Amino acid sequence: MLEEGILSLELPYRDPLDVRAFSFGIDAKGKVLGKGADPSTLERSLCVVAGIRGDEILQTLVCALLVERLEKMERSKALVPGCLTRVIPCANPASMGIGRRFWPLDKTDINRMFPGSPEGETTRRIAAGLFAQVSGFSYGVHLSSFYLEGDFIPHVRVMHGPGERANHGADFCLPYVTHYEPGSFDTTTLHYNWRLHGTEAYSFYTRKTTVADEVIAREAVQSLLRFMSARGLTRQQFHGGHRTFELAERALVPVHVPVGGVCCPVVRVGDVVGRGQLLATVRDLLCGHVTARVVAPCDGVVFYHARTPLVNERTLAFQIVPDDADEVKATLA
Amino acid sequence: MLRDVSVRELPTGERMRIVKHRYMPVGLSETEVSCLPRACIITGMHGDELEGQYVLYELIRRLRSQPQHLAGVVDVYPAVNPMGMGAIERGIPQFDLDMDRIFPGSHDASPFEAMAADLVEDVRGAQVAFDLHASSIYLRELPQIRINEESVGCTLPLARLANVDYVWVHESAVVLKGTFAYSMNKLGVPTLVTKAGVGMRITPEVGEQLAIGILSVLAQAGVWTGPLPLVRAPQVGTDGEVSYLHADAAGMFVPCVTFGREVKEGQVIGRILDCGSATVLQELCAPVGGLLFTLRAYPLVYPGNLIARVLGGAPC
Ligand SMILES: [Zn+2]
Repeated sequence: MLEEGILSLELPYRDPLDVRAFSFGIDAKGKVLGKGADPSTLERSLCVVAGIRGDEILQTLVCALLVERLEKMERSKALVPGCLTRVIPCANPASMGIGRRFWPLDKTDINRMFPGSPEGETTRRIAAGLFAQVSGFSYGVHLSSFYLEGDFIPHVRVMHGPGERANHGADFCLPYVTHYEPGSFDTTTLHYNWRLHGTEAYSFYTRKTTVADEVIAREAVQSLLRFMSARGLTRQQFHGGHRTFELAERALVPVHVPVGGVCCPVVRVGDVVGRGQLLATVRDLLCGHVTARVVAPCDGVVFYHARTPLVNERTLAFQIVPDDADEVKATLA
Repeated sequence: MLRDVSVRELPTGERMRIVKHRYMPVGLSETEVSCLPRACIITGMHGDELEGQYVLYELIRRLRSQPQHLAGVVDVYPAVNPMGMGAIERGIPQFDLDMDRIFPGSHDASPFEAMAADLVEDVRGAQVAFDLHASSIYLRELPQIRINEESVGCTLPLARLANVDYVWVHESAVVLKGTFAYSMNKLGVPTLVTKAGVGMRITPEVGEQLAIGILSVLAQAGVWTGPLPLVRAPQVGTDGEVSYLHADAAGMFVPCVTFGREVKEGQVIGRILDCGSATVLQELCAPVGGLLFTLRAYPLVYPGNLIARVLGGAPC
């Protein structure tokens, strides 16, 4: 294992920003792939990034546990020679350290700054510095979180945009792979820029974000190892997992609450629900009267569930995978 | 006349509303004005930008003092991000996205995106629209209009009338498709985005300057028939003509030039200090000679923070 600082920046009144990366792999002669190993010269390589936002704690924990696993696998020679795996558990320790999601001073989101600019604003510089260290890999996995607070069925998202089109999302053996077309908002994400520059990228969504839950984190680690095994980065086999269903993100059925209040859900993500089944009740926050009953608009599986106890009128409370959703072909055109 | 444009209920039962004030010719009914030209002026998209409030005050004061000259409808939306304004928060509280990146909005996602869609629907059909921004709390800006190459044909002639110091024409490659202005221009409403002053503050001269500019554009759109104010001729520039100066050190920035004036190439703009040790960490000099139209207003800087923009010849 090679641990190195890949990015540093002076911060006022604080220690400098210090982003750490952990690299694993040996060359064909059994020598540890040294500092500055160039992934684009290797046959296969994988980069896993988390913690671009400071509240993506579970995502960082997943990476930390992955580092621990890969250390053991490297020692037991379970990694395929000539392949490099780099893990960056926390790309934004400056925000995570003080419990902020976004950049401490200007509140910008580093995942809206890619590919970044070395001469630009602070978070653009960080994005540029980070991108230089994660480019050139065959595979890229960004453990990310949704812009609305909530819990998900574990899944990976695959973008259909310019650049790399390959899709082996089913190799994670998660219940779902969702496919989406990039909007104008997506062009500054790591995922978009990875694909644009030839890396087969995935955004990996864990069940939760702001908690340190080792059971959920280990599930995700296992899924990343299954991907590594299927893509030929390790000889070791990892059992378990799901037969993945791949669908277009726009096929998800949104369920909104009709009124503001306190929302008490009666289902959880992963639950199978029938059309008309009660999903949640909304009560008046002050007098407790039930003001709305939120029901499933179709037969399906609860995919997303908003985490906020208090809801506004029209808050997106659930997303359902409808039973009649079309399966998307695993390989992209 | 005050009316609701978009209303959503909060968990506490409070209603979050985008409202508008309508000003129309005296003695005419709603139906009678429906065929008259209409101008829409929105502000408060970023809740930490207050300069637009005073622009509205100065504008409406002028409209009211000569009601006989109002020949069309003026719809004024003082706070399109009302909860952000209330909390003096740039974004929408409880929501991660910048409001000016979610247009044209959607009825399939969050209530905030639905409110954006309601706003677009309300402004659609106007002859002209303004989106009044200040700047962030970090930078002070000379009154300027930002337009993109794609809509230059219908917006630049209006921008020249708007009494700003500078019209910045952005290349289409850097156009942000999620902005209010982009959506409205696509829908055929020429929309001007002004940026002036600084975040969380009101600069009275900015309010007066832009109020006069808006009146002059209203006259062009047939909404106002009063005596035409004298407006300044702006400098017009493209991305290539703007030079940037960034911090390379972390510390306190203290300027030593007057904002909004011409600077010479190499002139010291300011210094970044470590005050506790009385050390100058970096001396920042103008990269080119020209108009200093952006200057850092917030003293604390991180490496990379923008310190100044100068409109001058492209540096070689
Ligand atoms: Zn603004």
